[in-house]
Amino acid sequence: MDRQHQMMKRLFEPRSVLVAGASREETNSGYKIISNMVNGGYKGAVYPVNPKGGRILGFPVYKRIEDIDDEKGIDLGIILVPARFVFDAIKSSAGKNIACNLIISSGFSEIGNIQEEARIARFARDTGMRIVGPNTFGIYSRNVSINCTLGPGEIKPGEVAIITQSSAIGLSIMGWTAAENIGLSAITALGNKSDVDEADLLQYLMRDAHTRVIFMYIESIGDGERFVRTLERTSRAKPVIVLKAGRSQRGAMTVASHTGVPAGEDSIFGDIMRQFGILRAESISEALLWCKFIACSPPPKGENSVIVTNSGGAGVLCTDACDEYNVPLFDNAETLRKVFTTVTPEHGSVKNPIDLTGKAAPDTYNEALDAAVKCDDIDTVIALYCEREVFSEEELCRMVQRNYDTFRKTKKVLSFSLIGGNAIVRCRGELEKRKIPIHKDIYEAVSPVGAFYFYNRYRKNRGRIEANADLDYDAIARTIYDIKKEKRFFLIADEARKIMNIAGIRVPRSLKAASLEHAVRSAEKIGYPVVMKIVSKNIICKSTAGGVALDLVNEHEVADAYEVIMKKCRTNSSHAVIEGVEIAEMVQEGIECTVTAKKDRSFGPVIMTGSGGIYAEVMKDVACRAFPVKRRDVLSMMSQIGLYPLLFGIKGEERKDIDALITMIIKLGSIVHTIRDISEIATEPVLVCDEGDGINVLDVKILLARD
Amino acid sequence: MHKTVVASIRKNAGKTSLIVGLAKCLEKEFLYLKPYGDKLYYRKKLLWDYDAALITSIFDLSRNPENMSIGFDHSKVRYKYDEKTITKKISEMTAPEEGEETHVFIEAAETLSYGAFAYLDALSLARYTGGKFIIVTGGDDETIMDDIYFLKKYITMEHIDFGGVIINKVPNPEEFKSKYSEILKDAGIHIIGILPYVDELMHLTVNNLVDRLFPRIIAGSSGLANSIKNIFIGTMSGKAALQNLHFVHGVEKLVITTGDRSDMIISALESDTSCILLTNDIMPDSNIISKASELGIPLLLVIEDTYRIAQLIEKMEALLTRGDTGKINALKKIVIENVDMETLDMGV
Repeated sequence: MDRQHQMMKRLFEPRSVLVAGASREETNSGYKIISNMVNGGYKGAVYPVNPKGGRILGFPVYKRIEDIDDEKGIDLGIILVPARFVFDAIKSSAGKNIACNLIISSGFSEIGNIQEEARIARFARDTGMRIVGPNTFGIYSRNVSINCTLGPGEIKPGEVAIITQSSAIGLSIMGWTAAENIGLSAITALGNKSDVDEADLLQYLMRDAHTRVIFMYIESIGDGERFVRTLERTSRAKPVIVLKAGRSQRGAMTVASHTGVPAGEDSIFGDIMRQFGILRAESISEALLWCKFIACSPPPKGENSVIVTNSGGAGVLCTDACDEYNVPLFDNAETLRKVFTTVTPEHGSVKNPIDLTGKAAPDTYNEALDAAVKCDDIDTVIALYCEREVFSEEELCRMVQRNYDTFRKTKKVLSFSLIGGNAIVRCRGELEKRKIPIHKDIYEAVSPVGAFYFYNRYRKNRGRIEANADLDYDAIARTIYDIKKEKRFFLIADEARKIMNIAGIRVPRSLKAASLEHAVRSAEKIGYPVVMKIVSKNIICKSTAGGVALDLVNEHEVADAYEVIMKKCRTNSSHAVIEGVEIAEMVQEGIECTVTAKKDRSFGPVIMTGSGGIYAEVMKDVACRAFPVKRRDVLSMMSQIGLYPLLFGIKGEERKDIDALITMIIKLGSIVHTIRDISEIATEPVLVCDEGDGINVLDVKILLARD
Repeated sequence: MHKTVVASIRKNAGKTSLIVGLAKCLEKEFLYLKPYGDKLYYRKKLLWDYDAALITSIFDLSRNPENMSIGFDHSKVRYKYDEKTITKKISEMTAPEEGEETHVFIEAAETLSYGAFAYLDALSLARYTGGKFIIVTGGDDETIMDDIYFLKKYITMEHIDFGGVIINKVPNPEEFKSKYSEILKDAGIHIIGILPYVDELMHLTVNNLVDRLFPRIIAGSSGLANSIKNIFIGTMSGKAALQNLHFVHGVEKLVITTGDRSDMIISALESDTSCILLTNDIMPDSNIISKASELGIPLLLVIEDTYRIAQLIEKMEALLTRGDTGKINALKKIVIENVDMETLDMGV
């Protein structure tokens, strides 16, 4: 077990807890924490600290942290003292070999007191302890029955772990889970995230036997690259549901002002979540709906889903919902007929949805669901019940319980929706008490099935081998070494071309010309038509500066283009030192797209591709993945963009060289991932030629990282 | 064949506007040339000068603007011509085609020396063509008098048919005359006319922005002739803008902001705004587009950021556009009332 995991184990499974700021006042947080620990049944040592001494709930109170005598070292410190005393408390706790301090006190970066928070984090780093918070609400962990939170005293043990950034949201979710009878394996809030972040907690939770599903509420991400890697590893082990604030532009602005950290580009975040099979919820209720269902249901073996209903209308609505949530309906008419004919009343339907008609009694449901359980071809049943006079409340509860138990035993998925008035509400309440997930709406019954399928698909289909290009990285590093020495942060044409050549990425033939005479000679050497581009160490965006002319077919056009480029670049970038122009062959054949690899400031290395040409900027048709990737991730990314169908050749066009494009994308990602000094490689346009003919990168911009 | 070469010592003296005014008085077909262009446009491999295109479109000239300039940059002109061949080229360009009327306006480049290395400076053009050479000057009194005395002391008009000086954009012509007439007479410089400063001619119009920035016109194309008298950069909320005196009291203003500042755009639409220029290529909401359309306030969308756009607009001249009928008629009137047409020998 690595040290990192060991530290998190001591956070989630502490043998001893120090409470700095303990209080005898029942309304005080320092009392509430200890009271919750006692009521929760925590069996470890508790060391309350308060200068007044005395006893709290039977525990002797230490006047100073230094007075605590625990030879083994204290695992967890809960700090509740006012902000101005926190540093001293942390310092004193260091003398007790404390593993982790959880700072509940507020008054730090969230109100602008950044220096004090940084001082505490620095001290913790120097002494090897970990800090959760400040501004957190505490922690609950089922493994040692510890509830040292400011939340409710009773937490139902279960299999859902929750990590939230916001304490207020976290406390509300705790209340919500209690009301919905969702059992927790752990919950904590990261607060200001001065040290411990989501990735640290995930490292523990991914291996925690009691945790079946993890729900994270995130506002901003600090070390995105580490977060993404840990998330990927976690998702391999168990489902992760993420609710991220700041999806909208205005929401992102609010996050930035709330946390002091940018929310990160939401489209990039969304694509990365998709890449790693993370379930992205849009609301707390959706996230908890999924949590509850996934925690209670066996993983689906397949995706053959059958709707069983006592109402044709409900069946149609459910079919729509299945389409929306990508839940495939089982359509083998022969099998359906065999399985359901004998259990379906007259006038019912044995086509999926299976309509048991309004006359369906408890036994009708039992027989139909038993038949589905026995059929090996059916993996999931979405059962709908619309309130009818045929059932009594008790019968309905009994029927649902019976079938739920049967499905659990046979490890098949059952999602039940009961629709109706007061009797149904009471029945749902009763079943929820028994931890049976019952839905009040049809879409609610389908949505968690769709989420579970999505995750299962990811688990089944994720490639195992990460694609990484085998390139001469030393040669690339040597090429940029001299440029960095010049304190220049982008590469001019011939330098960028050299990197492309090292990477084996095809770029059109070109020559650099310092004068118009030379440009004309170069164009004749390369052969018309040609492209002309400005060469200047001061002009990054050549087209914006007016420094690009395309499809020049003769000397006259080369002369005009040279004049225009010089004039425009001198006007638009008056301080630029212009070295001349680059004359390149004009390549026209192929489908135009864009490919970029960059170090995203929130998520680390990412690759992006988008439609090219004049529509690219307006349509914002771009998809993204975190790097490293598998080849299938690249293909999945490409499938998100509008031009994807064109790559397969339409209306008699040849199929394009998709493999070459994937290889090129992986090469760019590998360079940005491996070479620390390169922050971005943007290629636009990239022409994807017919299959077997490769790709052509017509322009490339390489930016270097500023140290 | 009458030729008039119009030059200036400094930039933005008003040469093109003067030629428009003079041509309006001429009331017959003419040729226009700007051998060394300075306001370069390049589209679909064609190259022309803005002024050439403007005059072509106002007067519906038969020649294409791309044939009215020889070049815009030393490199190309010197690559293609030497002094001898360029003289020949000029003479070919000024030769009327069959059926064409004979007056030729030749507009020199932006300053007196501009283009000398490419053999196309103002004095060379006057010598090559033998046209009547007119200098346009303008600005405050000191600038005007500096220019005139500089001409007198240092510029040799040998082999040039020097017509005299037109003093442009004079805030108070009567006062100027009473102050400097005698001095100018003593200096021996012929003053062809003193033209007043006309406020209306000095303001940018939305059309100027469209011509120079190539924006996407999202709404309000009926307001492209709107004049711009104030410029406001809306980087604050709409509420904050409404507390800003320049915003509230700035009449006929151009508001530069981004498409996602809906509150700012709405505040601008509800005040005296001639145009809203949206930067960073961010489209506004559809309800904003509808509102701007209803009000006839142009919404222009550009890719560039606010700083860069503000820089470009700062450098922009209030150039005439084809739709500026009011301005064009005003120029004619100014010329008729203030220019000694006989000196120009244009046959008017």
